[in-house]
Amino acid sequence: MQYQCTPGVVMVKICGTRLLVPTHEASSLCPNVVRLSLPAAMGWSVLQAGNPVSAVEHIFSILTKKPEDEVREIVGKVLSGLVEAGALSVREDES
Amino acid sequence: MNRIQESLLQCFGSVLSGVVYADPGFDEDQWNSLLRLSAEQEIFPLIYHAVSAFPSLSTLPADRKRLFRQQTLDRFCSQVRQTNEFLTLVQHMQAAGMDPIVLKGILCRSLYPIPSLRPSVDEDLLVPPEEAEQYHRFLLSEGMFCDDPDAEELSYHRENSPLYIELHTSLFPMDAEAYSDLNALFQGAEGRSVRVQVEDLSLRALAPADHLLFLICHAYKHLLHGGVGIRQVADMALLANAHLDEINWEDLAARCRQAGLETFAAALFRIAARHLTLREIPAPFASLEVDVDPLLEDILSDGVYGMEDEDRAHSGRITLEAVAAAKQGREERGIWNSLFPGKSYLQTNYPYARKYPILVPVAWANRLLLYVLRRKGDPGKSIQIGRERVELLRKYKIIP
Repeated sequence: MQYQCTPGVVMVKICGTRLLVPTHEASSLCPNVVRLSLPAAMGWSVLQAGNPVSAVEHIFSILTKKPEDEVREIVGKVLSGLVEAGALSVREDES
Repeated sequence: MNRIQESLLQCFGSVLSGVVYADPGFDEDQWNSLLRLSAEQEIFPLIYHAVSAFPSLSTLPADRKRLFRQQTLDRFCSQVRQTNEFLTLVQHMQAAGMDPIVLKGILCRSLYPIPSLRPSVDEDLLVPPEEAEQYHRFLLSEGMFCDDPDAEELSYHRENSPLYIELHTSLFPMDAEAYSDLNALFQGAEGRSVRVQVEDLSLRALAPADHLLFLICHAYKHLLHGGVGIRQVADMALLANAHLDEINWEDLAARCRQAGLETFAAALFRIAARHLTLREIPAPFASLEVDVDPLLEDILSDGVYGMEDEDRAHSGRITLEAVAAAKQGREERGIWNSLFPGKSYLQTNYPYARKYPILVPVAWANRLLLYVLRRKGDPGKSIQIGRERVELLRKYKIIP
């Protein structure tokens, strides 16, 4: 599964809190500001830079030192929250 | 100016310029004072965001810091939603062939480094009088409610939404004795309107010179009613900075002069240049000698633009009357007018008096009763403030 950042959603840090902010362009898909946990912010940044989800998993596995399947589950959970908020969308694998 | 007021200006200036403001090393009381003043000036989210990481802020109790942080985030999120809902509304208007002139709010906000940290209560639209009914129907069809369909300036809100629209058919109320004449300064402004890109939408706006003149006149209107806010001066600074080279400053100064506002505008520009990042004072205003301190002191006095302090709010009746009397070449009606203002004032503030003119005396009685019941502190204070503020009008040559 791959993810795509919703065009027009930007990350802003207010009072130390990272937020995903929908501009008007994105507001129909992502109606509300999303408050990010640190892992979610990191995952978003990696995907926003054009990297595949495997890059997010790789970074998480280095940071958490957890086994691959556990990391995949954590990343899946973090990113699905962003999908639910409309900041990310799922797209089919190119393969 | 005390240290708290100076610090607020320094911090606000650094927010506008993007330069980091140094931790002033305040204690708990000083932080409370600074943040209270920022809230009164409607710039709390901008200021708290700028200072939230300062070590000396830890002198505040942790729960209070949490509350302030939460308020900043909530205001920010609400402002984002307001912006998006407003842009969607205008998009729908444009799709229906309607193209109102957007004033102040979103246009000023978009000039700030982080726009949604600048709070706006409402969004103002200017429409031709003959199209007002069409806009009214359109806004209702968009799920908005009209607060008072009989008012001259119609306002609309939407349930469970921060969006609040004011629909104007003139830039200043036509029945305002003290400043309805300002509308004459904007003759042809609709024809000079320009397009301004805000996010993905092209909005119709007053030309930069007209818009800046409108901000000056709007600040003047606030000065008469209770007080100018420092945010209004910042809006002017940012708008002027964005158009320094394209505005015909001689023409703008002449229009200010026509309204008796040239010295007042020069003082605002001077404050903006000294504290709020205005890059240069435009030439015609730079050559005017003006003492900005009394105005700055008035701006930074307690109360949300002077309206939260009842004494200052009431003093507005005295300043409004002083200007109206000067414009009409008659004697001032004095304190009597503060308690028993004209029919038009009552009909603006008491909808039932507008609907049923026979109830104007009831509105007077109601006003007097509320005035007595709500009074706190020295009953002579609003008269004293009013007199001081009339002197301020004289100092800035608004009245002779």
